[in-house]
Amino acid sequence: MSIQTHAYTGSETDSGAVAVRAVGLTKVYGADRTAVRALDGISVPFAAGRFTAIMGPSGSGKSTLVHCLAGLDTATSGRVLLGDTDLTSLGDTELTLLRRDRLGFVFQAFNLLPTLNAEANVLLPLRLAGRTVDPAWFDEVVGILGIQDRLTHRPSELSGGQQQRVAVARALINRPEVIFADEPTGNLDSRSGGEVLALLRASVRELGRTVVMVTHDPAAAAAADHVVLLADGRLAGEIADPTVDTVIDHLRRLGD
Amino acid sequence: MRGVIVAGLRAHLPRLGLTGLVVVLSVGFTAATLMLTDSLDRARIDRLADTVAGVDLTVLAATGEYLDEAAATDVAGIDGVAAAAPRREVGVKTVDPDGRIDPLSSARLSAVPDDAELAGLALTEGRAPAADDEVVLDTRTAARAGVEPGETFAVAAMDSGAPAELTVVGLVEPPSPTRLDPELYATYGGVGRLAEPAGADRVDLRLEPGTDTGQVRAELAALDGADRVLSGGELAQLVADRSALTGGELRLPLLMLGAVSLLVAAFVIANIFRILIAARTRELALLRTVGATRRQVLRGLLAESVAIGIAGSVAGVGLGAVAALVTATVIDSGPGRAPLVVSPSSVVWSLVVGVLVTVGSAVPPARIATRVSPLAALHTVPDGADSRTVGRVRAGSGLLAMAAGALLLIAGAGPVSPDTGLVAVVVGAAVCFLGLLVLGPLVVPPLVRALGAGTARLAGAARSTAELATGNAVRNPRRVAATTAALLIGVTTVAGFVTVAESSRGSVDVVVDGQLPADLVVHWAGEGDVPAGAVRAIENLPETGAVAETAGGGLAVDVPDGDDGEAARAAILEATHDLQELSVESLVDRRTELNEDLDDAVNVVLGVLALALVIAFIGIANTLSLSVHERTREIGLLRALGLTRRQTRILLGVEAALMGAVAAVLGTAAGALFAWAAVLSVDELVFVVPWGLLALSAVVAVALGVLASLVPGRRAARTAPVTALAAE
Ligand SMILES: Nc1ncnc2c1ncn2[C@@H]1O[C@H](COP(=O)(O)OP(=O)(O)OP(=O)(O)O)[C@@H](O)[C@H]1O
Ligand SMILES: [Mg+2]
Repeated sequence: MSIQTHAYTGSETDSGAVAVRAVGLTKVYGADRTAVRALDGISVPFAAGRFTAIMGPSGSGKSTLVHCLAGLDTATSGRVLLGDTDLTSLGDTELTLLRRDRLGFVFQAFNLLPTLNAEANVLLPLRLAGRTVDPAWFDEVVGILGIQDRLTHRPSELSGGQQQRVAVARALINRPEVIFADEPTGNLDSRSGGEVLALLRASVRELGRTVVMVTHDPAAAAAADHVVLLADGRLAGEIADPTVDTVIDHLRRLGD
Repeated sequence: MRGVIVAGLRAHLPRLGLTGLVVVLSVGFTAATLMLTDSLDRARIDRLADTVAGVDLTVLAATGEYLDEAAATDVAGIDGVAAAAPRREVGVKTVDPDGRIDPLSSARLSAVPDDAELAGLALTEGRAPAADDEVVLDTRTAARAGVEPGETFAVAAMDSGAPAELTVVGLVEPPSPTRLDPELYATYGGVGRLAEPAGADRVDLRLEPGTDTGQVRAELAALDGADRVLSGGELAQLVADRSALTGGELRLPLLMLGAVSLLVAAFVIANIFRILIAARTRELALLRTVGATRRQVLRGLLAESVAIGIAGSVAGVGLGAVAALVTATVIDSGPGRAPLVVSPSSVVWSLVVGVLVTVGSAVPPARIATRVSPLAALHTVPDGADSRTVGRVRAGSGLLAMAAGALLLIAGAGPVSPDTGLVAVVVGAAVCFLGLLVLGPLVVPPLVRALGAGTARLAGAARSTAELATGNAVRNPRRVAATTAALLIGVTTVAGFVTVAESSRGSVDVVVDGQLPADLVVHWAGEGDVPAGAVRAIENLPETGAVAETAGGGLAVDVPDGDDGEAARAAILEATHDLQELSVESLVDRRTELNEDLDDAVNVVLGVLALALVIAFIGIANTLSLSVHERTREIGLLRALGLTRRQTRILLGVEAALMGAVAAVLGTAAGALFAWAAVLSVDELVFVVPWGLLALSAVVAVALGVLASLVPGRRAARTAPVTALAAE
C-alpha cells in the first residue's frame, strides 16, 4: 500500500495500458457570476483491466467527471481519450454509437426501461445496434449475475438489488471497453450492495473488463483496485490497494 | 386555493394553450355556421323586402283564385291611392343553351308594375320591361343561357309548353347566392300571355302622403275577390316566409358536421387534461397532504377547465365571426348584402357549447386524479403507465352498444321499410360507433400490438425501435385509445362519406344507363308527343342509329360506337330548327353534370371534415409532446445506451404512425360498413367501394400521425443523455 499525500499530478501509473484518460478536463456550468467549475483542469488515467473507485466530498465533481469520460456530457475544455479515440472531437451520433458499442453503464437509479422485461433490458444496447446476441455469452452473463429466473419480469416486479444486477448484465453484454458506474449501490442495503460490488469485481477479475465507479461508501471503495480522490474539481490524491481504513483516513484528511 | 390554480395554469400555459386552440377551432366553426346562415338569411330577407319597399298596402286574392284586371282600375280610383298595380307570378320553363325549351327547368316569372317605386327592381344593367315582349333576367340565368340585353330569350308556360319569345332589356342581381331558380320579370301583360287562368294574384298600392290608411283598407276589403289586405311590412314578411331560407337549408348539415369536430375536440381535450393531471399527480398529492380536501382539489382543476373553456370559446366566437364574414362575402357579393348578423343566440349557444364540452371533458380525469391517495401519489414517478384494468361495466356496456347498433344496422339495411331504413341505419351506426369508442381501451392496444408485430420482420435496429415504439404506444390503454379515438372519428366520417358519395356516383351511372341504354335523349316540352315528322327526320339522319320512344314521351337515340354524339346532336338540332319545344340531352353531359354537382357537395363536406382531422392532429401532437415530457428520463437513458437522435425521431414517428394506422384500419372498416348499410337501405342506390379513396384517407391518417410526431420527435432527440441521471 502506498499513500501519496502531496497533490497528485496525474502522472501515469505503473500498471501498463490505459483504458480511458482525462487530459486537462474542465467543465463549467452556467456563465458569469453564477458559473460553477465542476471540473478544474483535471488529468487522470484509468488503467485497463482494473477496478477504479472515484471518491470525494459531495459536489467535488465525481459525477461530472464520469459523465464526461463516458461521453454522456461534453466538457468545456480538455480532452477525453478512450483508447485512441478523442471523445471531445466526436459529434452526437458518433458519440452515441461509441457509447452503444464500446461503453457500459450502471446508474444509481432508473437504470431500466419500465416497458421492457429484464431480458429485453439486458439486450437493449445490442438491439439498438441491430445486432444479435451470442446465446452462450448471454447465458454466461445471466448466470454470473443470477437473474435467470427473473428474465421475463418487468422492472416494477424486481427488487432494487435485482434491478441493479440486470443493469450490470446490460453493461456487460456488449463486452464494453469500460464500464462506468455512478453510485451503483447508493440505493441498496448493505447485503445487496455487497453482491453488486462482488459482481463488478468479478467482471474485472474473470471477464477482464475495466470498471470506473463513483462511490461514497468506503467499504465499496475498498472492493476496488485503486481509488482516485477528488476535491473541488481537482485531483486530490490516489490510493492503491485500498482498504476500508485507508479510505476513511484519506477522506478525513480531505475534509480538513 | 385560487393562488394555486393560477400558478398551475401559468406553469402549464403552453399545453393549456393547445387545449384552448382546440376549443377555439371547434367553437369557431359552430359560431361561424350560426352567424353565416343568419347573415345569408338576413341578406335574402332584406332583398325581398326591398322589392316591396314601395308598397303601402296590398290586396291579396285567395289561394288559387285571381282578381280580374278591372279590380286594379277600381282600386286606383279609391281616394288617396297614388298608384295601383296588379301583380302576378307564374312558373315557366326556360331555354337551354341550344335555345330549346328545357323541360326540366323551372323559373319564376313575375309581373312588375310600370310605377318604378312599386316595381322595386334593383337593376344592374338596362331598364325595366315596358312592352309585353320584354323581360329582365337575373345575371346568373343570363350567364347560363348565354344571353345579353338586346337578345331574345324564350320561356314556355309550365303546362301548355307553347314558347314565348321575349327580348332581354335588363339584368338584376340573383336574389340568393345559393338558390339556383331563375328569376324573370316582365310586364303584367307579358306575364298574362303565359298565365292560365288570367288575373292578378295581388294588387299593390302606393298612397298619397297623409292618407288615412284605415279608410283605404276598409274600401279594399270590400273589393270583389279580395281575401286579405296587408300593409307593406306584412307583405315583406309574407314574401320572406314563403321563400325557403338559404341559411336554414345550410344550417342543419353544417351543424351536424360541426358536431363531429366538437366530438373530436372533446376527446382531445379530455386526453390533454388526463396527461396534464397525471404529470401533476405529485403536486396535487402534496396539496392533499398539506390539507387540501378532495373537493378543493377537484374544484381547483375544474376551475382551470372553466377558465380555458371561457377563454377558448370567446376567442372561438371571434374567429367564427371573422370566418363567417369572409365566407359570406365570398359566396354573396351582391348589392344589399346584409352586414354580418351576430345574434345573441348564436353567441350564447357557441359559448355554452364550448364551455360545456371543455368542462365536461375535464371532469372524468379530474375525478380520477382526486381519488388517488396522497401517499401513493407521492411515491410514484409518473411515467405515463396506467396499470388500471378496464372495468367490466365498461366492457359490458361497450359490447352491448355494439351489438344493439349492429342489429339496427342489419335491420335498416334489410327488412325494414325504405322510409325508416335510413333512420335505423343512422341510429345504428351512431350507437355501434359509440360502443367502439367505449371499448377503445380494450380494442386499440391489441391492434397496436398486432400492427407493431408486423414490424417484427424488419431487420436489425429498425426492429428494436419499432418494438420500443409499440411498447410506448400501449403502455397506457386509455390514453392511446383516446388519442386514436379523435382520429378514428374523423377517418370513420370521411370513409363513410366518400363511400356513400361514390355509391351515389356509381348509382348515377347504373340508373342512367339502366333506364336509357342510349346516347342522346330528345325531350319534348310541347303538348302531346314529339311530332311524327320530327321523329322521321331524326331517324333519317345519317348520324343517328336506332331511335325509340321513351316512357316520358321523348326519344332515345343511339349513335354509332366511338362517336361522342356531338355530331348527331348538332344534326338533330339542325333538322328541327323550327321546333323550339324540342331539346336534345346528351347522357354523357347529364352524367357529367350530376357528377359535378356531387363533386361540389363532396368537396364542401370534406373541407369541413378536414377541420376534425386538424383537431385530431393537434391531439396527437399534444399527446406525444406531453409523453415526451413525461418520459424525459427514459429517453435520456435510451440516448445514454446508444439510441441516436435519428432513432429517437423514428421512435416517436413509429409510435404516432401506429396510432394513425389503428385509426385508419378501424375507421375505414367502420365507415365503409356504415356506408354499406346506408346504401342498402335506399332502394335506388348500389354499393360501390371506393378502394382508391379509402386507401387515400387511410394513408392521410397515418401521415397525419407521422407529421404530428415531428415536433415532439425533435424535442425528444435533443434530450441530453445526462437528463436520465439528473436527480429529481
Ligand atoms: N447541471 C448542472 N448545472 C449546474 N451546476 C451543476 C450541474 N451539475 C452539477 N453541477 C455542479 O457541479 C458541481 C459538481 O457536481 P457533481 O454532480 O459532479 O458532484 P458529485 O461529486 O457527483 O456530488 P455527489 O457526491 O453529491 O453526487 C457541484 O457544485 C454541482 O452543484
Ligand atoms: Mg454524484
